[in-house]
Amino acid sequence: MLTCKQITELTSKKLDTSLPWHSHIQIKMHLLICKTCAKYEKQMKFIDEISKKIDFHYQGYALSKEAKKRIKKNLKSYTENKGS
Amino acid sequence: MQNPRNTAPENWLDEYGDILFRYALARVHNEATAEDLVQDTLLAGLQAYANFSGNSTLRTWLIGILKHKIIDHFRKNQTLSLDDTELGLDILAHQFDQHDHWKINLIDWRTPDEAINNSEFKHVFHKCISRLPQKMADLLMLNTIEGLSTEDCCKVLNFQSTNQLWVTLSRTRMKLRSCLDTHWFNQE
Repeated sequence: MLTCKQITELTSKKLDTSLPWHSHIQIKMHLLICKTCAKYEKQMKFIDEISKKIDFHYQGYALSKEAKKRIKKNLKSYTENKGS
Repeated sequence: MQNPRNTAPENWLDEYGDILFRYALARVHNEATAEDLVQDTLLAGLQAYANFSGNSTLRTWLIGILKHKIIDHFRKNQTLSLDDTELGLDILAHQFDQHDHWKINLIDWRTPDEAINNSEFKHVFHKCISRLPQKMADLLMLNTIEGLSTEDCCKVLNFQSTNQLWVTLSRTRMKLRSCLDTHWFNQE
């Protein structure tokens, strides 16, 4: 019988790669009798789903005037050096 | 809409600067780093403009360059060995007893599906990510959010083996779970 700690690793790994059939059976057997690991597995699925879906865009953020000035200056010095 | 090819290089910054900035910011979570990445991208774009085929829009092309710059940034940031928090030893000690069984109780998460569209939840989620050790946050970003392959993640983030990567990813999610549990699901 696998320990709870081992099960947490397997339930996470299952999200990233396919496990061998005996691992699936080991997880199933464990989850049948361990309510905490069963909850943990559910929450892992949710965390994976939300990590993929959550909107990471910083709406409303923009380069500051100063930042634009800095970048413009550096780009200009590049093109001028290239030209000469 | 005008043909993106017509945007002269000197106008790229005004036209695409903010889009690139937000894209980078969403991945590196640091304004100064994001600014550097925008500049590096535009410079690389200028150098490679002759190779721009016009098959994609200029915007897509520049974002493609930015993606490479972001991966380079992650690569440069890596240390060789992992410390205890990066290994997740702290959270393991907190959650498991000496027989590797739970010593904490897990509560039921009330309707997690609703959380995705909740702006307060997003805030908590971002905060929990920012509390992760850098290496864990980088791994979650590249593996789960950018969808980079396991092999590429190992190379970029300097993991010795795919197994080490999976173990770290497991402990990353464990920390994230614990943080969300405390700061969102356990709040009334």
